[in-house]
Amino acid sequence: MKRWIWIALAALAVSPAISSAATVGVGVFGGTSIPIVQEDNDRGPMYGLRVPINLTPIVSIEPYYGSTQGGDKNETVAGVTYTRAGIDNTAFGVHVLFMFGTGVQFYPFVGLASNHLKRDGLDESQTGYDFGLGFGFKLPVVGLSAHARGGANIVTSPASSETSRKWGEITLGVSYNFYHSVIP
Amino acid sequence: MNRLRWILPSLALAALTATGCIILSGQIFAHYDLPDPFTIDSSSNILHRELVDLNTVSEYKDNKDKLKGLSDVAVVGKFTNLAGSAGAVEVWITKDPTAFTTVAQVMAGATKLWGPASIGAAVASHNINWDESSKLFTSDGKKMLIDEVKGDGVFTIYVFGTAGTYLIKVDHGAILLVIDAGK
Repeated sequence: MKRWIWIALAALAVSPAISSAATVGVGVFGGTSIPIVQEDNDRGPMYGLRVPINLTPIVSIEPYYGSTQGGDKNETVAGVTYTRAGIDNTAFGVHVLFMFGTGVQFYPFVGLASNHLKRDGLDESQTGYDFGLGFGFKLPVVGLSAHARGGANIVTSPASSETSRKWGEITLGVSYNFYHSVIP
Repeated sequence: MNRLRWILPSLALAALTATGCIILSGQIFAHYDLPDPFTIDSSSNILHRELVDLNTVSEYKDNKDKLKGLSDVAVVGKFTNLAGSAGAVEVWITKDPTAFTTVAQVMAGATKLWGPASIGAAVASHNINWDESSKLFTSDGKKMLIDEVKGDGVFTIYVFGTAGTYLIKVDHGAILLVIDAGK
């Protein structure tokens, strides 16, 4: 239920923006998610979908869906190795990107998301925050661009409101702008 | 305008950092080892009583002042049924040091923490792994355990079988904890 509230809020937030946007696109991305100070969770692959909406030359908003499969973590106790399944993280959220440059762009970004954390014994939805830097450049096809990003995903911990689970994320992706507004 | 592009994300990061420093936190693994091995026997030593003092665990002691919660917990080990029919093992908890000697006393005065973990008829073994164990906690027992972990770290657990007749050996028994620590 909470997830649908997030999606609805994101849709409301972007709907007026789309009508006045300079460009609207769709993109896919994939990469690696690396847990930070999580001794019960290991790195794993991630992938997702983005809808970049350029509002002005310097600000874009980007609703996104992301899915991470946490890697299994081994801990050895008295010579016996125990394996804990990694945490799978499904996120629906919005990024705000602050663009620098034209052909080759780089952009700091922030974001807010609903993150669903799941493994045996864990099934919780938590608020997440994203921070990072991205680089993008146009590909030799009209409307197509490639992106590389590094960032941090900080999700409030289900175990305590005073702590969080954190991941470093490195992704590569491509986006295609399918809508360009005609400026009179 | 260029400055604004840096100022806005920086402000967002600063705001998050200011709201309780959730960034400066982590999940720390710790374990409390049970005697290896121990045996529960329906004809003599009907239950195993363990007075747990987490302050003897360095990872717990080192992070106690920063402890905010318990992210994960498991009871693991190799449970071997040496005699009797198929049955199960349960773990119960009291928040203070207690010295119950019968299952009836435990059931009357303690809270069920974990189980039942089933074991086949003798001779059968069941390696309880981390993932399986995490699903066997009761909500009341887990809450009590979390309170104790966040409290003085001292509590008592009882391990016993559910079949009428049993002789169960537990090898490499341990309680695994993942502590949420923060500033």
